[in-house]
Amino acid sequence: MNLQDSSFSPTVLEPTHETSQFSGLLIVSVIASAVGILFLLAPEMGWPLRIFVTTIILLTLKYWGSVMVLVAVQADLFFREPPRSAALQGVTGMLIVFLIVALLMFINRNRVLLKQAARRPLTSVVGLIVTAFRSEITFDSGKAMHEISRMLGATIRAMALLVGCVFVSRVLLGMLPNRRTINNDLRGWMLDESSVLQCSLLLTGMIAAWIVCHEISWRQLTRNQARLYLRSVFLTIHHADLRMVVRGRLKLRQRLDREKKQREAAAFACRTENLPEFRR
Amino acid sequence: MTGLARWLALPAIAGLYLGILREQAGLMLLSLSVLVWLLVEWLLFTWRVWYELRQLKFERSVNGRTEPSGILWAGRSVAVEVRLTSSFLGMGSIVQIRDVVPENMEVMDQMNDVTTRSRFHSAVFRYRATVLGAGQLHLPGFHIVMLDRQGFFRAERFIPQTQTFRVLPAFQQVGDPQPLVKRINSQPQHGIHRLQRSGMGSELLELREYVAGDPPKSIAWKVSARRDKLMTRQYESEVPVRLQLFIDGSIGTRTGGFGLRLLDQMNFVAASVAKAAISAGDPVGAMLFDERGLRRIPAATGDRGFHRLLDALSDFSVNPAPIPDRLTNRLIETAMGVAADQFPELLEGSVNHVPFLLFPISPWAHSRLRERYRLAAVIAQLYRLSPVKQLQLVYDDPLMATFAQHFLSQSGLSWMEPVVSIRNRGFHDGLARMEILSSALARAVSQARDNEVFVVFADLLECVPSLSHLMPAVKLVLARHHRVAFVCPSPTFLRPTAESTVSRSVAAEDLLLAAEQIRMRELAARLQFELRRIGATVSISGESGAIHLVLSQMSLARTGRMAAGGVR
Repeated sequence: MNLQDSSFSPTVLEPTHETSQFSGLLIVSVIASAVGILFLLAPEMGWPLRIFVTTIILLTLKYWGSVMVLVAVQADLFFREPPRSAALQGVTGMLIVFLIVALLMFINRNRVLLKQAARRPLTSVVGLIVTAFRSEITFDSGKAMHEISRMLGATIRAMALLVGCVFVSRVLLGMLPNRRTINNDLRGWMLDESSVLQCSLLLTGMIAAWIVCHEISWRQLTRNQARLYLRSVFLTIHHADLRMVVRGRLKLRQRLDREKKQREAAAFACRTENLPEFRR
Repeated sequence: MTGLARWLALPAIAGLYLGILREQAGLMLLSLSVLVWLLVEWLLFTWRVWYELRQLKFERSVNGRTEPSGILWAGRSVAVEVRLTSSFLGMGSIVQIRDVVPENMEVMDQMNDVTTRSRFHSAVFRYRATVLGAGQLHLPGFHIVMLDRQGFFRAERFIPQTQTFRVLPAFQQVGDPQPLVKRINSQPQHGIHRLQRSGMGSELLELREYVAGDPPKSIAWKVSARRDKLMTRQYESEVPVRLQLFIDGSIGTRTGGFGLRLLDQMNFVAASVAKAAISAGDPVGAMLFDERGLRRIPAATGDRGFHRLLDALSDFSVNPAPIPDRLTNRLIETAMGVAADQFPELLEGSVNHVPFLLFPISPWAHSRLRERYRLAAVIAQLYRLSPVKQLQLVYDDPLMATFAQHFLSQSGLSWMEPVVSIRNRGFHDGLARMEILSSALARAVSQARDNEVFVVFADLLECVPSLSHLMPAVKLVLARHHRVAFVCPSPTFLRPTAESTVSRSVAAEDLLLAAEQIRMRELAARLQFELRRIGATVSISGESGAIHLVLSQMSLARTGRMAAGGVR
């Protein structure tokens, strides 16, 4: 939210009046999209079982987000997709995967809405939905335009990110050896004379990357964090020895305390024993 | 990385593995896409934490002042305004910002907690809070939680922005702000008895009905004849009445949370009577005593003297470092909570490693030990302890209890339970308290002139069996013609009357409260009997009744009568 020298309330990130009116629709669309994709899976499954599984997965949306939806889709692919099939390898496959990941993102981004809806009574949630459907929505045109442009920008950024992710995954899968070619690839690599050089380069590159990552994370630490990190590393290395020293000191202190108490008790007994006897 | 991201990564890795094994292109692509998505989100989030958190700048003003120190009043509302500035170039991450407030401050409607996006130029949020008790108030800074849109990653940071305030005790304005007009306001010399000039000042204040004990020469005979009843001339007294306050700050008066401590009740009554006395031109002094010893505040008049007294009460109300000898789970949990609140970056697993531990086997005990390791590391880092001392914190309970309590005190929390378990140190059974109070009374008597009112604010209800140790000092004070009033605040804020001992319902809390009131009533009856027998007055509450009792004693001292009945 862009704020130019303005005061904001603590609810600044909660939906504005313009967007909050659509929260009911958003909840419905999250549930509908999840139900839609779940009903597309496993067409040979019976309806009662399908409804049962769908209900269970919907109940997990609030806490688990899209995890169970992903598991369901993966399970469907695992059981239904034939090995070495070319059906999902081209642009169609990328588009389907893109849609599935976009759905996962959509569910995760609106998880807060689901949590809020779960806290409210059912009647108020239904009321929200009814309000949205009856078009009893009021707009402040300036704010609405601002909100629409913000949401559009966020959606485009998210889509671009997902397209990039799917594309990179596709490229990576194309580069990696598969089960059929791995033996030939390995044999060729072993017989290749330049493999030693490649291996050395790979190793050097990995070490360099590790050093760079480590250096970046070290530079990001605050002074106190860096001190604590060094302290923790030192303690981890010398933990056994230091623990032995500390326990030894504590035992010694306890023994000295015990002995002191015994000495005091003995001294008291000695004093009482030395008292003169009562004489009549 | 949150649990959600971990749970999403797990099926993705499993799916990728199975997809490679079974050569299922769709499964592989979906799983790898999810993993790449998580990786990209992590990279973006790391960059946001690194860049956007650096751009966030804060400026806090309390009651319109941004200075690092100042003065506040207990019981009054405080307006806090926080101005945020950030870079407009940020990516708009979700940022939860909380102005961390100490226990001595109660925020209305949780308005100190805001959620925003990091992409703005400048913004302001305001909230109101009430300061609960006198002492010190330390606003440490801002706790920041940064999240990504999906809830996959979360980073917590603390940005210090320290402001420290002296909190003066609250007081109640009683009666007229300027009730008396005095021509001479100097203390009489030693040996000049107040009875020689009691009520016979130079200015006529009012005429009132005759009360048995009024001096006959003050009777207005002409007016009495006109009205057919005896009337007395009331004169302004020109003899100042010196008020000497004795305030007990021992362990028992400091526990219970800010605003609910016995010390807060005593501060309120003491400040109110001091204000009333100083308004009448009477000098007010104080003797402050606790386990650390005795501190004397010389008697003074005027606004300057009043504020000097309030400053002293405020400093006295700051809890000193306690000496706990017992470590409790609650102490550890509270210290961990405060550490997570104010030093979240030091609790991160990447910097605060816990060594490999095989024992204890029980998962619950194991996790508690790991938590203690992490807390010990934070405390060791904050107090610059050696690694050996750090490990000693883990295995030495008294040492950990001492440091944890000290850490909590410094973070603005009131004392916790283990401090009152200290037995065999004198203050628990009241003997040490009686001794130090006796010596304070004796010292005050040695430095006193005539016409003084001694007001003792002490938690005497729990020390009734040891009251005989205090009696000689009280008798000495009374023998020197001073007045003594005791104000013993009750922990329930209720005067233990017959009505208060009746349970309002059969709920456990009400029954416990009634039982406590019955016990208090018995103790109060014994205390009042013992003290009134020798001529002292007692109030068992820290409310306006106690203020009026002290003021009535001052009024009696001013008129020179021994009691309201008129015995002189």
